[in-house]
Amino acid sequence: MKVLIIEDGTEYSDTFGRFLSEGFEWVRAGNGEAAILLLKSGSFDCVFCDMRFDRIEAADLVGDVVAVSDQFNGDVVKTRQHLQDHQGNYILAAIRDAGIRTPVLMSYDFDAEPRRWHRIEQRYAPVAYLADQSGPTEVAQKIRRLVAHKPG
Amino acid sequence: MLEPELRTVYLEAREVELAGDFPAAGERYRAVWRAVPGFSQAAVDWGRMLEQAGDADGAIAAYSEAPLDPAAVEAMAQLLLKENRATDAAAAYAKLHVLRPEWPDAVRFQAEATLPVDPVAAAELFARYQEYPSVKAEEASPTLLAIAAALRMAGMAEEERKFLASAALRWPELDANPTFMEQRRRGEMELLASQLAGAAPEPLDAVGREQLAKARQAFSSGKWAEARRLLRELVDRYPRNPESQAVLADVLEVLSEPGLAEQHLLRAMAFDPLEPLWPARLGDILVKWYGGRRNREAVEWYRRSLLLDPTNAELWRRRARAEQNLVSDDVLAARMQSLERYLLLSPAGEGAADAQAALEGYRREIPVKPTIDPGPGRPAYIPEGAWTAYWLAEAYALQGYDEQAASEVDRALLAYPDYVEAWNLRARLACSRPETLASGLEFYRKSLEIKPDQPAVIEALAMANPQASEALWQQAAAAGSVDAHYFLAKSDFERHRLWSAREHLGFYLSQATGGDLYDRGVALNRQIEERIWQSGAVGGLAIVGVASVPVWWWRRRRGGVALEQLLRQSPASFHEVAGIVSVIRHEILKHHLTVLVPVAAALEAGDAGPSKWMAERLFGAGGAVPRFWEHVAELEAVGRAHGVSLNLRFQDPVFAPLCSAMTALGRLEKPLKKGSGYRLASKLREIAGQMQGDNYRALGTLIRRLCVMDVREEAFLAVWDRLPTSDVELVLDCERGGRVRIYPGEFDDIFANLLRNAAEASRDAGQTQVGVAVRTEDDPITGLESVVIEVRDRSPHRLSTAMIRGRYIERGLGLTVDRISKNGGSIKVEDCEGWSKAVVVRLPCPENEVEE
Repeated sequence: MKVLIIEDGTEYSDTFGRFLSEGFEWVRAGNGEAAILLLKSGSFDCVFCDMRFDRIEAADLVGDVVAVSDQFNGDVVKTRQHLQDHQGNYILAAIRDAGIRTPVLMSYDFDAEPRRWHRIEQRYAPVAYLADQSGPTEVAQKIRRLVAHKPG
Repeated sequence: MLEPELRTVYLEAREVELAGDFPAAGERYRAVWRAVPGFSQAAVDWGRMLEQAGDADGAIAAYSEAPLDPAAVEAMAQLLLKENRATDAAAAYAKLHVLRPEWPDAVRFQAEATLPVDPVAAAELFARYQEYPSVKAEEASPTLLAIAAALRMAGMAEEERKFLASAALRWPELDANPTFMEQRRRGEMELLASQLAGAAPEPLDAVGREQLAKARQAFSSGKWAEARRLLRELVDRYPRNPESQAVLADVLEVLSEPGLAEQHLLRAMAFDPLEPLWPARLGDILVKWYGGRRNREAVEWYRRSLLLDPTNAELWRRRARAEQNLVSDDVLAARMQSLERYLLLSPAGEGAADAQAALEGYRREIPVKPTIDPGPGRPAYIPEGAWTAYWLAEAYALQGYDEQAASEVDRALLAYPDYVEAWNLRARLACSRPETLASGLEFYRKSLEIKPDQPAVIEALAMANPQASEALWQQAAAAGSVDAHYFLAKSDFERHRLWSAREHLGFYLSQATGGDLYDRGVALNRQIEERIWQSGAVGGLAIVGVASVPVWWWRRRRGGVALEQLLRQSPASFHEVAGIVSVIRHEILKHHLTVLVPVAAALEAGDAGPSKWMAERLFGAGGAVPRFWEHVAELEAVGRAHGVSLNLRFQDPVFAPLCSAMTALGRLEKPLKKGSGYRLASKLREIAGQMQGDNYRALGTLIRRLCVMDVREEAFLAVWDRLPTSDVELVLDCERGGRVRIYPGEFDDIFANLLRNAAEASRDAGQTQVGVAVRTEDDPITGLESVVIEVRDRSPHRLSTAMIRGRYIERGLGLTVDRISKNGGSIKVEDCEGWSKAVVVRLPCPENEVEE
């Protein structure tokens, strides 16, 4: 199974590469734009997307800076921080906007935010999330389940 | 030419004059002048004879008969001057200047003539005189000194200073004229003294101190924009508070705004000219940001700082470093050319970034100096003579004229023996020389006898006396010195008192904002934490004495409070706490510790590879374990900044298990690196269990519970009731409300302000209703919910989003916007059906719905 990991560091790629090498092929993209290019050029079974991206250049963040800055009274620092904190959401939206329907596993614990998750699921399915404290075994299970239930 | 007969008369007049019969000579000269009106020399001679005979009025009349003859005008002007008719003399010299424009002395004499009447006009005339290239310093100096003295006598010290400065620029050789130099120095010193005496720093009250502490905390946590905002508010509210100005300068420098930083430091120095730290900081900025172009100025600032703090070894080192890089403008320009060439040839070379920075610094615009109003002046209990002498002494001292400074400060102390500041200056002057250091310290002690509560003086004593310094640092800390805590931490660390070192350093780091000492503090913090958690400080303490352990352990466990108490006591700390906790969750727990169980499984299967890999991630550079403790220390520092002593390790129901697990993990460093150890795999599983318990979620619940409120009608009615709005009706539509993440007090402040503005605007326009409508909306990308609150009115008063955010309007709205921003919300003006407009506030809903 070929999975694209989108993360600003290498923690997931390192960990999964070490602990989940059997049956998985991992490819890493460092930001949303690179991820969409890879998704358009190759066939991936699933995407694993981190949520917070605070280690990449501001220019590499996906999202409409002007629109987002309006949510923060034009404060560019807060705007950047919001885009960093929720970059996974913005990447997911950009993937779907690009017409890509590959299942996405979000690395963010939505357990405590069911209404929010419901809205995201409705808009961006097929999508699932990974609870905090999930180890590699849970990741493998989640990905297999998500891919198996992919519509169509 | 004269006719022969007249020529004979004229020659006879000369002979008679030589024989000393001036009246007879005068008669002959007059006869010639009457016969030949074009021969004006005869009129001059006639006047001269009258002058010799003591008939000044007659002489003046004679000279005035030849008004176009420069010699006659000059003679008349000189006589008028002699006769103390200064105004007439000045007019005569002015005329002479017209007749002989090439002759500089006409202007000089005019200036001299004008001087008794109008020294400022004399100075202006002298300025014209000094423009003549042929004039020499020795010719000019008597008039120059006379004008300067007259300006001083007239109380125009600033004009005198400028006048002398301009002359010094025109004739650099005046440096060798001791009278000129003394006069100039005195004028400069008096001016400086009056500026120093007018410093009038404004202390912060409790609210201001709290805000400064918050700003420092934000700064030390890397939240620079937040720190800048808090400090801007602070300097707006306390414009003469030097500390706020200086901390703002530190923040601005970090934000790459050295010009603004410089201006704020100059303000800090103007309000508290005797603080040594700020000139030193300015020196640092000038060295760092101007490509060496302002090193000369930097050296001057270091010099000033050292005059105030002569026992500070580090400052001497910084000054030496700046001096070492002191080069002429030519050399500097050449160096910049070389760097340009280098960048051209190797734009991506190894030194390209440094070269680019140096060039940018070299070209950086130098900011204008801020204008600063003088303060109120002398307190009543200090005699005027002592006050004047003291500030003159400070001025001399600041310029390095120690002898004059000592002489003036002695005068001040003679007039007022309990003058603490004068004793401190006397001490500083003495400490600046090794041979008088001992007496300098005595002077400091004398000062402390009069006023014991002087942290800076105690610091100076501690710096100069390393043997006895620990007790002195403790005394300084008790008196309020922040730096003292760094030195106490260092001393404790060197003596292996690690817990005490951590306490002191934590306090120091939470209060200090930058500079060399701060950097050293950060480095020391790392060393302390390393020593505590890696080399078994606990074990070391155990060895010290088994008997002391239970006491220490009991104190550690019982002292301090849980995070919940901090949030209850100081809800404003919520943002800082939430930020740090979020980082712990994301960077420590999520990214690093989720693989403990697979590592344990690998160990059980005989594979040591993952264990070694894990050890590197946990304990290597930037590893999860040291970072966790750094974040815990940050939380404790936040507590201290809010006056709360946290005990997360033992008293906090949420953090204590996490800390315990992390401590246990720390003990596994060696076994993990080896890939083997007694029950290593099962210990890892136990730790993973502790980390993944309910404790961490409980922390999120705790924070949110304290800072979440329902947006209901009652909330707005409570605010409305407090406003003087009896003639305006509040129309509410809050049925579609929700919960927002905000401290209730801040919510009240925001809407009190918006509702008051809406009510006043409505009343002014003859309208009788203000509306509030509440609804929720969600973000299509993140799915995050917000509560949207519209404050509606029917006033025709124009209002736009830019006006609100740009703080153009009503007092207090700027703070409202800041409060909304701080809580992650926004404010804008929108059209609203049935109303003229709505001010729309969006505040985020709590993310954690389940725990709510």
